[in-house]
Amino acid sequence: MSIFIYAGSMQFVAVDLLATGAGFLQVILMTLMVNIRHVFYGISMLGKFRNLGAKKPYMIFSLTDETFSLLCTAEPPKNVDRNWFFFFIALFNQLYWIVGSVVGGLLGSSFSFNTQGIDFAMTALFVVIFVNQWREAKSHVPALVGLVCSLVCLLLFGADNFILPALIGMVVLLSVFRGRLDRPEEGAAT
Amino acid sequence: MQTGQPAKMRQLKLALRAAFPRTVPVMVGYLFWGLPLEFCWKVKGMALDGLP
Repeated sequence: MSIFIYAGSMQFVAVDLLATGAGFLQVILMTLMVNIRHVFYGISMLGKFRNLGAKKPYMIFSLTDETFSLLCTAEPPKNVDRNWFFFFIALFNQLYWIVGSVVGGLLGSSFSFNTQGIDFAMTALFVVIFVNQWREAKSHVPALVGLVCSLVCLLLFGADNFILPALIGMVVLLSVFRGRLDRPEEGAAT
Repeated sequence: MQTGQPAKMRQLKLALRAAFPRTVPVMVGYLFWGLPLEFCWKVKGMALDGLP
């Protein structure tokens, strides 16, 4: 399943959909709703994916939350091909995903234990990625915009509904202040 | 023509080596991914141990 469905939240939803024998249209609509945030990811990756050639369809397929986070800030060393660098980041992540699913499936079927709190692994992963990005980024303004938007939307819409409004807020704010953010050196010099 | 292939392979190796360290946090996170999914399948009676 992890080879063909490369979307964590959708795999959990798929368990219920398969168990209840959901229809094709229902599956399509549910997938669109659960993963609609990827529209925003795709828009911001248009520039980076422009010259990927034959790798482009795979890069679009493999654009997960984690891969997006890495591709946003990861810059290859000077002597490294940029397109292959991005491709291998996406490929490594998908391989980890498949291996993690297989290992977890085998371990989980051989013994059982209390899984309460194990979902924190993904939160910890995003914290690690965020800290790395924070240390490497020249300007912390986009990160702060993301944090503030997320916190405000979390308070306004609750934990189950805040992601989409937060993403819309970030896109709007970053678009409005794009001119200033693109010229951090000029801003610092004046 | 003879040097084209090794040069491309060298580029691939360099890209591979540069990409891997970036993905280590993701690797650690994803290793914990399969367990909750398997338990989710178990609850629905469709776990791997149900296979022959």
